[in-house]
Amino acid sequence: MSRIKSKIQTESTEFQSNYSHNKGLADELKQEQYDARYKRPQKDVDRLAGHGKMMPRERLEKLLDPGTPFLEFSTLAGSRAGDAGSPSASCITGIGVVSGQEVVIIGNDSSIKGGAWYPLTVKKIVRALDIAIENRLPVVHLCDSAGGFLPLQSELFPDRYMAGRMFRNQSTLSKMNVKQLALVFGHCTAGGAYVPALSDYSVIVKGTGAVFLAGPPLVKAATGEIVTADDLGGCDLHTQVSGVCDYPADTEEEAIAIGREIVEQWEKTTKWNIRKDAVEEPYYDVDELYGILPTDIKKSFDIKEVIARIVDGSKFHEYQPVYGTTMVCGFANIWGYKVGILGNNGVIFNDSALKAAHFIELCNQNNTPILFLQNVTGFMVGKEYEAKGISKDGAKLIQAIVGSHVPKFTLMCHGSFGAGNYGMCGRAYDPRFVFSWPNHQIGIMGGEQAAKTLADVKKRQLERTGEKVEQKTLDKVYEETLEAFQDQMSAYYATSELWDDGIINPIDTRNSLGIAISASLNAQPGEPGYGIFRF
Amino acid sequence: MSESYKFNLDEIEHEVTISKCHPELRILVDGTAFAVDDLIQISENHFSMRINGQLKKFWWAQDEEAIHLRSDGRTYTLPYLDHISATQKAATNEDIIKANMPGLVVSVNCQVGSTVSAGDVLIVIESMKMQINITAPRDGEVESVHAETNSAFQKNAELISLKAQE
Repeated sequence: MSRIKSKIQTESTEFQSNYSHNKGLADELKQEQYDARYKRPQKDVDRLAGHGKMMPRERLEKLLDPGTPFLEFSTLAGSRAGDAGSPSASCITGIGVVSGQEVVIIGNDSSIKGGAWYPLTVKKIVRALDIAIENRLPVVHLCDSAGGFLPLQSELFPDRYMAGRMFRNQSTLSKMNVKQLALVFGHCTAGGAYVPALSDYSVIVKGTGAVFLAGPPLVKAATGEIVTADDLGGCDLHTQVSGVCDYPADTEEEAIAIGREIVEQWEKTTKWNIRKDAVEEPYYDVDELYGILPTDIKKSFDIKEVIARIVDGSKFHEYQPVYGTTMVCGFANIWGYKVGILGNNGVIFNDSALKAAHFIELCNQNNTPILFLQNVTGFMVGKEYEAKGISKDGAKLIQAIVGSHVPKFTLMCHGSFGAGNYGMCGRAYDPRFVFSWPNHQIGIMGGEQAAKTLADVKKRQLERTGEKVEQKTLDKVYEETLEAFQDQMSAYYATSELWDDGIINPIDTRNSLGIAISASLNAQPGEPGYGIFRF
Repeated sequence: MSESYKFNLDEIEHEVTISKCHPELRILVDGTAFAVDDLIQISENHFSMRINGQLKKFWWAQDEEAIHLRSDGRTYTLPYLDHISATQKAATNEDIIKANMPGLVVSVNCQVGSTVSAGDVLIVIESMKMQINITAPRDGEVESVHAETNSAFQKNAELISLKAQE
């Protein structure tokens, strides 16, 4: 493999202005993430301390093996959801190392409305459990939740992927022999009671931990029985009488120590043994990514400059270097792991789609995980391309993606528009993880195109009804559409709605992918199985 | 098992293929074979080996760009040539720059007579919601410009011509 020759000029004004723009975006991201993680009203901090409880982040830190990384998911989930939102969607999820074992950690954030589940909390927990299922990762639940947030119950309770799915996923993990541990720090009310009950192991803290289908107020309302939380579902009841929990703990620290010891007893997972070579840092400075990404969503950049700053030694074996060149395909290593990379250098033509589909088959044949680097405005349109069958070539690409048995990873580098999102393994195509950069934008089409289209529709509508077409009316439609699109196209809106597993700082990409690839290997691969390709 | 490399020495390209032919190495340089054995490391960068029976001592170091070799009182620098990028270069050595898709000209950054270097942005086009830089495929002089700002063009339209190379 030879090293990519970078063509960027770090002295150019373009590089400098890109750099300050993107560095600024990364700084804003850091600040937002810090606030979502740590910024809480003092009264909530005092309330937890008054109960003798740790802050949720402290629990996490004490649980993890010292000095090991934690790949947090969707830190900014719920950040753009208005009244239905909350910091980090009121929970912490991610992959960390506990007693040497990679696990998914799901922690309720009791510093926000008692850890109540908002609609996006449920979505985020269900997603974390999906990650555990897809990658066969054991789960540690840190329970401290008041249950569903009642004013929004219709948005979190009844549907297929709502609260019931959490327990369905827990049961699925159990069926797959993937282990689960629950540490009960606070209340597990109503549905929440099933979290420890469906775990293989559970530890409950004396005095503050409690598990019950209905808390004291609901019991009183239903039957008139008056009972304290501790008598109803506390530590002694569940560890001595009911058998709902296994281990009593006097303090939160003790519960965490017992939990770590439990994980230590677990058999070690045999990971899928894919090719791994010696690790090499990228030759080029990762920091230069800030100067490569343009300030304008319409401007293009060479995706190979990005690859050069993610992969080992900046080395890349390019496949079909002079065919379908708007789709860059090739092999490289990330933290030693051999990966196949597909990246966009422009719109997808017939040949680019065929090349990508073929390369995906090669990766499957070679047991090589696939990384998609999305910067795509879609498939080429127009008579010539329809006549060449651009639809069936795009269909083949999508089928190759869906038929893959190797783990797929998607990184949203810049634009992700229209069917291009599908052809490059968007969220709906089950990549094991989707990460985005803060400059990323996503939508069915670009904001300007949508605004032009809708203004044009309005004009024809007015003409049909014989009304006067005023430019002012059309401009208003254009402006309003553009504004609405721009808000909903931002990386922050996307991550708030959990269309990805989190926004990452571009310079952290290599590390995030390294953890993600390592975690994905806990699951053994299936067999590739393709459908009928339309040739 | 054999591996082949391309190197530049005194601006001449050489192809070197190394095959393991136990107990010796068989090295093919531009078609001529050499037998190499008794490779011994004397100190960190100091080695000796026997080429076609003759003992040769040399100092050897490698960095990201090239291999540096000292032998017989002279230092040789051998820059490594990449097979794939060499072929790619050959494919784009043309005089006329054509549009590979229909689109709109956003800006023209060169004039007839401009001297340009490979990689310079000659014009910026917009197509499929993306702005694309059209760059010079090689060093040269602009012979004609067929693109005007805000004008549309079809696929395969000639956008810029460079003066033919002698």
